[in-house]
Amino acid sequence: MADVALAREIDANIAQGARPHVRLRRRRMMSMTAAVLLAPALVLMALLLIGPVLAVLLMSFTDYQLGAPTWSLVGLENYIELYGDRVFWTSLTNTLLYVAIVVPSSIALGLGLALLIESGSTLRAFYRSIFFIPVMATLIAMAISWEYMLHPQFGLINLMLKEIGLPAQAWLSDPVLALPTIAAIGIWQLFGFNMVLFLAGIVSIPSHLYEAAVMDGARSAWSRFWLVTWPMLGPVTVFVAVISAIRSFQVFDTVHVLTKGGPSKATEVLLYSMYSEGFEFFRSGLAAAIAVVFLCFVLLLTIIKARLIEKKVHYS
Amino acid sequence: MAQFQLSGVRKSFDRTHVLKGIDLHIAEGEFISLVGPSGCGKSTLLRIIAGLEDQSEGSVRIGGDVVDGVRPADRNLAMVFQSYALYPHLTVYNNIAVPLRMRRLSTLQRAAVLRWLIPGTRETEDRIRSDVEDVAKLLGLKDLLQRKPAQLSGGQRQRVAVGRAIVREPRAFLLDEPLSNLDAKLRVHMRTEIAQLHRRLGATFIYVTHDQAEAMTMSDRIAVMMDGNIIQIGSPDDVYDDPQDLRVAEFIGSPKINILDGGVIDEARGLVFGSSRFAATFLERPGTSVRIGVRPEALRLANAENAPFSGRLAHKENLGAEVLLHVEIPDQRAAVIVRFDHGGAREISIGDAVGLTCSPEDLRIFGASGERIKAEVEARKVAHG
Amino acid sequence: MNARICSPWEILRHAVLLTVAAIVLLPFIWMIVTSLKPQSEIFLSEIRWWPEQLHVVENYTKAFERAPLVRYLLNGVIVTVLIFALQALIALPAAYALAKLRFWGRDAVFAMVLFCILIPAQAIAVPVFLLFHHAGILDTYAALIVPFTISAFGIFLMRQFFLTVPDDLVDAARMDGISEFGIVWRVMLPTAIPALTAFGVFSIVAHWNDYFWPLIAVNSQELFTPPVGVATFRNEEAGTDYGPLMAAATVIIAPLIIAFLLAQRRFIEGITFSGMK
Ligand SMILES: Nc1ncnc2c1ncn2[C@@H]1O[C@H](COP(=O)(O)OP(=O)(O)O)[C@@H](O)[C@H]1O
Ligand SMILES: [Mg+2]
Repeated sequence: MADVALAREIDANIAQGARPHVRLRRRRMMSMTAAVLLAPALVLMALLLIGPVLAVLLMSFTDYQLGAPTWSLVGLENYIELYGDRVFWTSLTNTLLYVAIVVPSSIALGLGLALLIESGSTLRAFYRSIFFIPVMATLIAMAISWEYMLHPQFGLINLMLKEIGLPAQAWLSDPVLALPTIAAIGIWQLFGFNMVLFLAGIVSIPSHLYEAAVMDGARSAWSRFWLVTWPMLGPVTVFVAVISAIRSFQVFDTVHVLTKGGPSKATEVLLYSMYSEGFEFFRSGLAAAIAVVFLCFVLLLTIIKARLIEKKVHYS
Repeated sequence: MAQFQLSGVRKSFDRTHVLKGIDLHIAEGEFISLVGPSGCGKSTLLRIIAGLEDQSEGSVRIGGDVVDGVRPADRNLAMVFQSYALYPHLTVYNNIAVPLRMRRLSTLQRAAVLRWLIPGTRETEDRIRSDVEDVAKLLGLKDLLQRKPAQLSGGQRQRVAVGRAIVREPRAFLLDEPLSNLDAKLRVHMRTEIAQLHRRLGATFIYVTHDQAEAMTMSDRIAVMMDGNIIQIGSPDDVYDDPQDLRVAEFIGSPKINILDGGVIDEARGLVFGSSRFAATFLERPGTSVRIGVRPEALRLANAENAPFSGRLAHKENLGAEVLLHVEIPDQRAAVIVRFDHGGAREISIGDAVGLTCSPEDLRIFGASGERIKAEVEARKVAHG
Repeated sequence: MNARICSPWEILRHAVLLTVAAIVLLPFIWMIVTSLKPQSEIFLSEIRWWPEQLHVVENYTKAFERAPLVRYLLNGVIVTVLIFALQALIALPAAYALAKLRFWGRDAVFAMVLFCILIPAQAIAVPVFLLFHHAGILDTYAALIVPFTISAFGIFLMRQFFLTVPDDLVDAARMDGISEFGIVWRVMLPTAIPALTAFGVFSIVAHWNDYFWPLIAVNSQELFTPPVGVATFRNEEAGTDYGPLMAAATVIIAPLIIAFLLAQRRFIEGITFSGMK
């Protein structure tokens, strides 16, 4: 107890003024450390992400053209021009149509193959890897291979159709077929990604649920699928759908290499329109307006996805 | 080696006050334990001493120097963490060598490439090697030096954590519940090892634990913390025999001290203890009700008729070396526990009537709010009934 | 095991999966087969699965002669490796600060990181292009690399990982005398290798395959990345000389496919894990 009294005395004798000062310096040092560690990231984020987003918003209200000596604010003119532009509407509907084809197909294919792979015990890793190859192969190179396969006269696809007695098709130059063909390549490229997500989802379903289902009388694999697998994969499926939609919205490579938006705008998609306005005609203001439209769609989808992730985190 | 002086140390996180004014002097070479229930602020206090956390108010002096604002590494203290905090990517050898390398080698000499080209690197590394090997020998880690932490058992990891602390001869050792991740048997064994280590090194040890048995067995002094305050400091015997607060009495000792209600200071300034009355000198007003603490080993069996307390044996706990009787007494909240040596109380069986008594000097008397009441209780029984 | 493989269901399963696998691989197989064929066997009105006359040497030599494929591959390596190295260099300290330091404004900075994750690169291509134009760095390696040096997603990912590293480890390092900057590289980085590998695979695959930005950012053939290079090669050939073109395409996709086949699990984990972005 004497210690305590002594300590109090000593404490009383120590000059009170000096210490908060030191502490303040220490705290400031901590903030300084954080600032130093964060500085490069913050500067680059401001310069390369947040600045440009603001710039794209601003530019969409100007008639800025690269190389033009002057520019001025034009208000909503770019948006009005887009609103009245048939090509823009075609581009938007084509993009949505592309998403509407690719998302359900790649989900169905991904889920079906994941179930089929997991239903047996052999060669699972083999199939998984094969189906994953298109996800990571350079799409531009593969688009060139697809182009040759889709060649109206000498392409493998038409030659195969001929073998089984079907008429040849002008896959990429027929306005009706061009977009579905591009979408088919999109599905081919994407479904392996979805399949891997579904595989992870299936593996995480506790096996005792299936045992319970069997005990409850779900005798066929079909009924167990609807009783256990599908409901348990519900959140994964929504998640996969949103991710696939975000990716499909960004379709560009295949269009640029294979069709250039043609024939007669049949494969004109948003990013391609933005690219040609911004980097071929250098009408930056108009391109920015298209970018804003694109950004809105992708932001919307991303926010939905973030919500889903949050929910999933809460569940676990 | 160094002494520590903590004066008026307070700490708040946002609006919660975790430490409420800690004054503490720790002598050179002392083994002091900070003991208290979880969440009472022990770790926070230790981390303030280490410099890992800044106090909101008050000061810390080590060896006479105020160290507020001095970085942890510059305080020259070593710390053993509850989770051991071994670097998972480094071998045992390198884990132990890190504090030496950080101190003895320059930044250039620590760089991965070309480090051997810088003069002195090899000599220093050789000295580090011999120091690490000495520590490894001391702790029995010699055969494990090339393993990664993941390949070690809990006890071995704990030893490496200790090795990392002792290798550099710091001014003091700070240990934050270093044994609580070990199994019971190993924990008891490591208690001895740490106590021996302290004796051998002669350094100051500040040991945080929520386990009163650890504190009792190893320390020179114990500081009992509750709710952000140190409520008693003293030697293990002091704290055990002379608790200044009901909470201390209840926290220290296993099995727990028996707390009996119904002690009343009567008009004759005597103490009513069950059905007995003792002469006692009190500062309290007559008629105040008090609570009486009696350690399990202080109680004795007595004739049920004229013992101050009597009840029925509800349970008998045979621990081998000793036997614990749980006696249920009417009007008391919990069963009273009585401790006997091996073979004692053999003739009593469950359900039997049991009378209990004790010497008045073994009674510890606490006021209504838990504060200790100093009283001279005389051996003389004043009356009966 | 054998009994199970021979069960009717297993046979059906393999039949379906193998068929789909064949369809999935068809563009790769056809690309490689075509790269082995002489011109005369390419423009045939029948399917020829294997050339009668192998033109491997001719096609691949032609491909390497007509386009600087080695240069493209080298550019691909330079760009992807530098992007990833810079991303790690910038993201790791930031992630450490956000996960383990307490300082004023931390929540605001983290909110900013979360917002930046939402921004798709294509949407800001126009202003970044103009910025680079005015900075005079279009058509340089810098133009290919700089926009991707900041990965908000990388910061987020590493921060989440660092949160799982016990605080005690950081405190122990401080007691051992390691500086805050040293902690990032000597303590956090080694524990974060699995997460960083996953992110690295994702980053390298994404930027090796990226077409949109390099198409905009560079004009000189010496700076072309593999996708832009092969697309240009195709445009110049006007889609007539398929043998060398397919040879070039094969060369361009080969490095990633080989790496993938060598470390399939790593790749699949890395790309799906990080690709959920
Ligand atoms: N960084 C922190 N932020 C907010 N509260 C904290 C922090 N660290 C500790 N606390 C709070 O301080 C109290 C004491 O914690 P601690 O010193 O770890 O207790 P002990 O080690 O005695 O179990 C606890 O209630 C804990 O929740
Ligand atoms: Mg603690």
